Amino acid sequence: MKQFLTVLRYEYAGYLKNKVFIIVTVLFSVLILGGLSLPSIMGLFSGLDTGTSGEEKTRKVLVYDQSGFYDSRIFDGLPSLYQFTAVPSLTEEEARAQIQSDEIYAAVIIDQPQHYTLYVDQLSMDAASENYIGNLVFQAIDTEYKLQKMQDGGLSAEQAEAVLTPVESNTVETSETSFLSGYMLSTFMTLILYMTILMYGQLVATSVAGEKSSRAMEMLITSAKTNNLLFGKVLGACMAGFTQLAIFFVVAVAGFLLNRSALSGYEELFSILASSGGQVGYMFLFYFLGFFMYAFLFGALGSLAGRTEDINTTSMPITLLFVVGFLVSMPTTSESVMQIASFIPFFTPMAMFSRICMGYTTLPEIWISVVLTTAVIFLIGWLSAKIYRLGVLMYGKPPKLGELVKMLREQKKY
Amino acid sequence: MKLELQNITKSFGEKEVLKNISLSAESGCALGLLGRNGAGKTTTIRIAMGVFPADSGSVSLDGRRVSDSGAAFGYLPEERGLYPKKSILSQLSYLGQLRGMRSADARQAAIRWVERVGLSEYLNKPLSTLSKGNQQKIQLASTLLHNPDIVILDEPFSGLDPVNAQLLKEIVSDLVKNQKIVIFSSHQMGYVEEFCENIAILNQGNIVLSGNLREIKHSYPRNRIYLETDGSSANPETIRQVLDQAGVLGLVVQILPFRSGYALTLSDAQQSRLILKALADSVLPIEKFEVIEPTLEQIFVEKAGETI
Repeated sequence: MKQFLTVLRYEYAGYLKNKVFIIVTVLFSVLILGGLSLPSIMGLFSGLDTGTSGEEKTRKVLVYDQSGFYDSRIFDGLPSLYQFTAVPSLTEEEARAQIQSDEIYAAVIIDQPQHYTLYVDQLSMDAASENYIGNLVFQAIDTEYKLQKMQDGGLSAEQAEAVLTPVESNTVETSETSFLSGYMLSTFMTLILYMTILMYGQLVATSVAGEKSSRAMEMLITSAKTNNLLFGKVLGACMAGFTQLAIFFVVAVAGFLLNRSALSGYEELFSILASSGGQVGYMFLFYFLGFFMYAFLFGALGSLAGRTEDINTTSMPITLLFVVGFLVSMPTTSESVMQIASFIPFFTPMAMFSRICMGYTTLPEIWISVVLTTAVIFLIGWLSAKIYRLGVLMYGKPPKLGELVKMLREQKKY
Repeated sequence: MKLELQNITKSFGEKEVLKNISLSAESGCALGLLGRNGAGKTTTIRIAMGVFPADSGSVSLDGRRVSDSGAAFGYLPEERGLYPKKSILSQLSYLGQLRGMRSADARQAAIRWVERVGLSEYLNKPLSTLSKGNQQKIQLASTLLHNPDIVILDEPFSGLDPVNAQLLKEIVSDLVKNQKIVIFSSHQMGYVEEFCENIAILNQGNIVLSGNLREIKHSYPRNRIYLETDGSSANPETIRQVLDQAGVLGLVVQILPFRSGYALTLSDAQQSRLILKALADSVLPIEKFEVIEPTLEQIFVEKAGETI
């Protein structure tokens, strides 16, 4: 046990001191923090533009009704952010020049009752919001046009307005997780699982093959039990990956809290993050399951490769298996395929996790798959230890599968 | 302490690597384990250390199973290598801890040994910054830092310059003096002759010769005598004259130039004293007079060189 802990400590510390690990962790943390701070940063810049630090100044919009069809009051009820002014004449060039020089925010030229052109400097990020100038102008002109036409056709003003009042609709998703949030969570977190497990799995293989090719293995196997070496190494890498995930998670939460006010426009994101507490827990659970399953195999295969160059060839089958697992776990996969995949232990970590995010599964299903996968992990751990014991003493060309099975059969316990 | 391997056999697949070998090594004297490439030395060593089991036979230390005895092994493999990018101190203390030392003890031992091999200033540098010879000294330090009871050195002298070889000789002598069991595997017969009281020669999975090196040498015919005189004052003719005057010429079958003197082949090895007396009484300025023993190299080639 002491030996196992020594290996674990050494491997774990090795990762934490590794330059690549530090760079990747810092870089991704900065990216996460930067991404979440983007609205705040943009707010800061637009604040500088207006000089009113936060409160936006009114935006001037010139309206030139060439058709003479509309009353100048049609824009009166619109948000006070925009100040509409009717002008007796305005050419496209004048509108462009004034927008360019920031004298006005936008200009509307109505050339016919049924056609107008809106000039605006740049459609900003609020294009989707209800304050978006394009929507406001369209609604005002469109409504007025229809009102006028209906009145011309003999309807009273009240009747016309009644026709134009839209029906109020309300859609409620009764599932605990909405499809959108499930979809986003599932895609995003499965991708994180995929990357982390594959990356650290490969690192385990590289590390084992590196010890072999540098012949440090000769010292290790005569100093420690091979089981301790393999299990310590796998768990060390697992903890390093977990540390990295935890750091990203903490950074994301911190970034979110810091930018809470600026992110208030993104309610959907808010609700996804708020409702994903359980999923994060599951993500860590399936991280461990997926990690052990694949890292043991990667470790065993690394021991068969005599040189680090051979790793890609020897670990190809496992990598392919893992990629298939990732593909069937995408939320676009049909529910029934994903359900079957989630009970195949090699695919469980990602497929079952994806199903949880999508709200496609039940608690008993989850636990059956977890128990099944855990059992298979023990089996794989046992098998990997056997392969590892054999592999570390073998130099030269990695053995073929048939040869390996034969050698494993002959191998004696000691 | 006595490490004994008895009736060990081992096969890898179809290939029988060790065929019922037995050998023993005692504390306070070094055993030279010799054999050509592929003779089974490394397999023997790995079985002794319990890296993998023998198909049959036993390994014991003072009659007990090695694993039960609590004895520690120190192994310097022929294939050298540690972690090239990790600091010397960190990997030495790691290896020390793997072998059961407490963290602080392992660290101290690592510092002490790196100092002993004269590389203190590199303690916190990565191993790869050292030259090959110096890396080998670090490897030796890693072999010995946990104060093992049984030390197995596989080709310890390869790649060392004469100064470093001297350092290693001192260290090995200390090990023997400190009553360690030392097993020494090398193709450099000179070193084996220097350190090892006992030898075992492996050939194709069999022990073809084992025992006390002196006794082995004594067992060879002792009827050849080496004679060296000062300058060029002697030649076969003058030697014959001297022996003739003493009346012992009849004992000498042949006189041939040998090294920087002459080899005298006697008809009876027991009569060398008479020859010595005759020569000592003569005017010849004798520098050396000794029985010519076979060198270990000759013995090795004879025993292990028959099969190719």
